[in-house]
Amino acid sequence: MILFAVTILVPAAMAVRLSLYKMSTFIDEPVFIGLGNFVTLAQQPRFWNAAWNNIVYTVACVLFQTVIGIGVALVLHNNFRGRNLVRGATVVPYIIPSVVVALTWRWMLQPQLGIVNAIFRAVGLPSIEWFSVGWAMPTVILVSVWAWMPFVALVFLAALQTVPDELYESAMIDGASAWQRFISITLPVLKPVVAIIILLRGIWMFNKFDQIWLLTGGGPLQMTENLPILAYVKTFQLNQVGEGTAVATLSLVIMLAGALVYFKMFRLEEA
Amino acid sequence: MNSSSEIPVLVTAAPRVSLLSGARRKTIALAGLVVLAVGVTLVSLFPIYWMLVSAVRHPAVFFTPNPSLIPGPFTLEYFGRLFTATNFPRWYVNSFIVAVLATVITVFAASLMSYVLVRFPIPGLFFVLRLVLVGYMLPPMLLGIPLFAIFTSLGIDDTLLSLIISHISIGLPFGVWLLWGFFKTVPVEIEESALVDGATRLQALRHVLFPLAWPGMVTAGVFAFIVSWTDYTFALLLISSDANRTVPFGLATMMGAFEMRWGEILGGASLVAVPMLIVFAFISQYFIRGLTAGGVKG
Repeated sequence: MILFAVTILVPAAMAVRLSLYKMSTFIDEPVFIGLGNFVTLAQQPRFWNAAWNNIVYTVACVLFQTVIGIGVALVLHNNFRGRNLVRGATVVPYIIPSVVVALTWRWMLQPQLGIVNAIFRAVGLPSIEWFSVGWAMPTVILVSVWAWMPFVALVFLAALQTVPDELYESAMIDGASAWQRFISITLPVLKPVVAIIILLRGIWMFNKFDQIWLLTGGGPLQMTENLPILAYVKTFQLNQVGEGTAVATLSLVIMLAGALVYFKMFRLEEA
Repeated sequence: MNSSSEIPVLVTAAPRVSLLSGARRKTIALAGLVVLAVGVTLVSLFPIYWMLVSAVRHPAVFFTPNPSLIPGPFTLEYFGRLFTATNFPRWYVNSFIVAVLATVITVFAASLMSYVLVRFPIPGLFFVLRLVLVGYMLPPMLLGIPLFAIFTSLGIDDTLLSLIISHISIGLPFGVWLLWGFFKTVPVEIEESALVDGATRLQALRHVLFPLAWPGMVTAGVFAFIVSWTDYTFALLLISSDANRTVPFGLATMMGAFEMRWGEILGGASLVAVPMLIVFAFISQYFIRGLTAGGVKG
C-alpha cells in the first residue's frame, strides 16, 4: 500500500518540480509580448557586459581550478607523514559557507587594514586595491579558485588512486622520466575525469551568484556583474521581472550552447 | 583510498641520466614536496585562522595597518554585542530548524524514491530523474524567481517553511541520484530471500536494504544539510523579515547595517563555520565519498 502511494507520489513530485521550470518562462505571461524582453536585452550594453563577465569569470575559474587541482592532487598522491592532515586542510575552504568565505576575504583584502596587503607591504610588494575597477574581477576569481579548487583536487586524487602502482613501476624500469610518466600514464587516467569536472565546474561557476554578490555586489561599475546578478537586480531591485527572467533564461541558453560545443569538441562519452 | 603501497610519484621522479646522484635528487624532490604540502595547507587554512583571530582580537589593536599574525590580546565583546544587539541567536535557531527538517525530509524522500526507481524501473521514470538532475544545474534565478512567485501566491513567502521546501527541491535530485547508486549495488536476491522467508516488503526494506545502504543515506544527509545550512541565495530571495532570517543571510545583512562592525561579523562567521568544521572532522569519510561520487554543487 505504502509502496503504491510512493509510486504515485514520485511522478507527482517530479511533475511538481517540472512545472516549476515551466513557470520560469511563464512569469511574463500576464502581458504577452513574445520575444520583446529578449529584444530589449539585446539592445542593452549592460546585458552584454554581464554576459562577457560571466564567460570571463567561468573560463578563468575553471582553468585555474583544474590546473591547480591537478597539481595539488599529485602532491597529495604521494605518501608522506601528515598526508591526511594536509588533505583534510585542503577541503576546509570547500565546506565553509559562501557567506563566511566572502566576508572573511573581504576583511583580509581590505585595502588599508587587510592582512593580505599588510603582508605584501612587509615583503616589499605594493599594496593592491583589491576591489577597485581594475582588480575586482581578478579578486573574485582568486577567491573562487581558493574555495572550489579543493573539490577538483579531491576528485582527481580519487581518480589517481585507481591507477595500479605496477604501471608506474614498469614505466620506471623502462626508463620513463617523471614527465613521460605523467603524460603517458597519469593524464590518460585523468582525462575522462577532467572532462567531466570541467563540464560540472563550468556549469556551476557559470551559475555562481552568492559568492560574487557578497564580495562585490556586481560592482564597481558593474565590473563583476554576471548574468545571475543581473537577473537578480532586474527582478528584485529594478522591478523588471520579465527582463530579469529573460536574463536567467538566456543564461541557460548560453550555458547549454557552451556545453554542446564542449561535447562536440571533446566527443564526451558516458565517462 | 589509503593503500599503503602507493609509489610516491614525485619523490621517485628520478630520470636515468642526472647530474645529481639519485639520493641527492630524492632529497631535493622530497623537500619540494614538503614545501608544496605546507604551502597548500597554509593557503587553505590561513583565512579561517585569520577569521578566528580577528573575531577575538581586542578593539585597541583591531584596526591597524600592521596587524600581528599572533593572536591576542583577546576579547569576547564582539560576541557579546552579537548576541545582544542583533537577532543572531534567532537566526541561528532558524538555520538549524530549516537545515534539520530539510535534511530529514530529503533523505527520507530520496530513499523511497530511489528504492522505487531501482526496484520498479518504470520506463520513462529514469528519464524524469535525469531531467530533475538537470534541474540541479539551472541558473539559480531560473529556479528562484518562480519559487518566489509560487510561495507568494500561496502566501507562505517570508516563512521558514518556504525555505525548507526550496532547500528540499535543490537537495533532493542529488540525494536521489546518490542513493540510486547505492541501492543499485544491493543485489535483488538478498531482498528476495527475505521475502521468501516471509518478510513483508517493508520489513525487507527496513531490515535488509537500509542497513546495507545506510552509508549512502548518511552521505546524502550530509550533503542535504550542507546545502541547507550554507544557503544564502534562497534566503535572500524568500525571506524579508528580520526574525525569519537564517544565519548566512543575517550575517550578510550586517555588512550593510553596521559598516565597520568587522569584529561582530567575523565572530558570527566563526560561529557558522566552526560547528561545520567540527562535524566535518567526524564525517569526513562520508563527505569525501559523496564529493567524489559526482559532487555536490558549489
